[in-house]
Amino acid sequence: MELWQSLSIQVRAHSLNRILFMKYKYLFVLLFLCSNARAQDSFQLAPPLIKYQSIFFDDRLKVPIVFEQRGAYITYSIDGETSKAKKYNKPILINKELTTIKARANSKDFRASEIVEATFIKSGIPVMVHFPEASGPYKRNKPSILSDNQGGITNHNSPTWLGYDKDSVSLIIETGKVQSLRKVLINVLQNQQAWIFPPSKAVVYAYDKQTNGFSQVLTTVSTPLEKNEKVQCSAIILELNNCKTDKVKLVLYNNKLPSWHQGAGKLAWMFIDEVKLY
Amino acid sequence: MGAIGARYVPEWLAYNEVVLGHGKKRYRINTKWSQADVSKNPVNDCHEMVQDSKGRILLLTNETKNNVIFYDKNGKFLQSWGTSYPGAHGLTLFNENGTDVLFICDNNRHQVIKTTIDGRVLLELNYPKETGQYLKAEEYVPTETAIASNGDIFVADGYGKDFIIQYDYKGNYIRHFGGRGDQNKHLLNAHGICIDTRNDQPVLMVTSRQQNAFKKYAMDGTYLDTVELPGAWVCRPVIHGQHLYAAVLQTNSRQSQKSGFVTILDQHNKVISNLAGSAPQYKEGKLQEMYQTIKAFDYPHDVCIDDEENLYVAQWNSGKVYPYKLEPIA
Repeated sequence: MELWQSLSIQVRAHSLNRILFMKYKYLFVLLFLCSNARAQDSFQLAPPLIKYQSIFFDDRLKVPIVFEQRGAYITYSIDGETSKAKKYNKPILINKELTTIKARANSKDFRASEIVEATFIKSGIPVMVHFPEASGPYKRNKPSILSDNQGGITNHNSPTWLGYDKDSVSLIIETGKVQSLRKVLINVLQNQQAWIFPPSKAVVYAYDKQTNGFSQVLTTVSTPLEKNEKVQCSAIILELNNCKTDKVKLVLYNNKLPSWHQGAGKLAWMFIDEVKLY
Repeated sequence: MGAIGARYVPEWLAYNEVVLGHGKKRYRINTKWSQADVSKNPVNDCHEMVQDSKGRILLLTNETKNNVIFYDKNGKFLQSWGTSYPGAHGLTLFNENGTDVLFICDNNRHQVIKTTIDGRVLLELNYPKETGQYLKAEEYVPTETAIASNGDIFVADGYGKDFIIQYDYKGNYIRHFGGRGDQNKHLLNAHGICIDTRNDQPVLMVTSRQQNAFKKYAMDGTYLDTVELPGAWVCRPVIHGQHLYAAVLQTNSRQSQKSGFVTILDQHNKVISNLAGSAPQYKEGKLQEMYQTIKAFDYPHDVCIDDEENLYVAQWNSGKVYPYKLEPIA
């Protein structure tokens, strides 16, 4: 190619670039702004905070949800009504036996948060729960600790918890008079990093006056051992059929730490903070 | 069109414009600050950071290919040293008669090691049997040191028995205090310690992480006061100017869920800003529970504030990420 031809092509190409730049300069500005929008979008909001002193209550409870982040708002649902998520504007009043609140944070500037949930548990039949001495630093002196409506705190150092590193734990639950019982509920903690797992199995025995012992198995619930990094409380519910008594025994069986855990083969810890009878 | 722009924007153009914090303590976050080559200078947990008298930023990691990494303020890798600190956790810089020296707490070695700035060992402190509280080295897991102006060394046994052990500058035992218990003077997870020089009388500011608090002690170990920080698993306190800065490893309500942020307190120890955390709320003088609001960090473990007020965040157990830099917004 001759030199003049080459120069001519370069000049034409340069002119074309100039025209294109002039024509699309607004597009370039738009692209630049979009790039910043993308950066802003790259972070996700954390979930909001469902606030409570205890997840247990007597008659009714007002539950606030907070999220102090400029430009963000909270949506929530009750008992699985995910399609009916509402915008939060005041504390939620609850009064049912078992209520699960789910909430998430939203904002135009960030991706919406994951859903956070908390389950609130209403008092049942007044009971006295007898328990064996807890292990290590998790011994407590309060006789009513498992029936005082205090608990549901995910910090295992909270004085509401009894912690056990034993094969099994037996609890005797007394109502004071013979009556129909529908179910037993026990609240436990899971913090696998801290070696705390839910019991592998829970068994309820009925009291037999004639033998003055607990022989009849009323119900059994097994909990699958699954890897879960979340630190959370969960309620184990054992349904009872036609049970009329003033006393039951609840036995909780512990797990051995699974192969994927850093303490594989050793005994896990079980943490219990409340027992309810309905 | 916006989607096309977002997809094809080069990384240099996508510089992060997210602003974190509140009031006069707001920052622009840069997660790509470090220019270290991961194939040559990897990190594991990034535990602590300090700035030396030459203006360099030092990072301590428990990666034994390079326990101490030196950066310039722009994130350029300068040099590294250290292959014998598998439990490298605490890093404190002290200017000793005009010369920078370092104090490293090693969790695995159950030791505190004093070194020159380039890594030559000057002193090793073993488990403090003089206290009468320890039977073997394994019970002692030091996490942090603070050095007084006279050279006295204060060691926080934050993963051991939560005592603070005081030595003279030669390493002779003087006293111990703190430890576990149910009184105000006791500690639970004494993860960090510093000397707070913001007032006329210097005091020791000690982390009680699982109690979500800092506890103040006189220099002789007498308990003075508690700064409650509800919800926040605070790491070591870092004093810079009239402010106290601290990484918050995680939020109480979302433990083990990468829920950390950074908190900043004013000279009265009132929280004024949370970076990626909730706007601080005081009701009748009482600080309300704090929590993460933006997932900008996983598990922040330490902060370093440089001579230009930039803030660096080192993180534990966060996918081996290098530190982030946060530049203040004027």
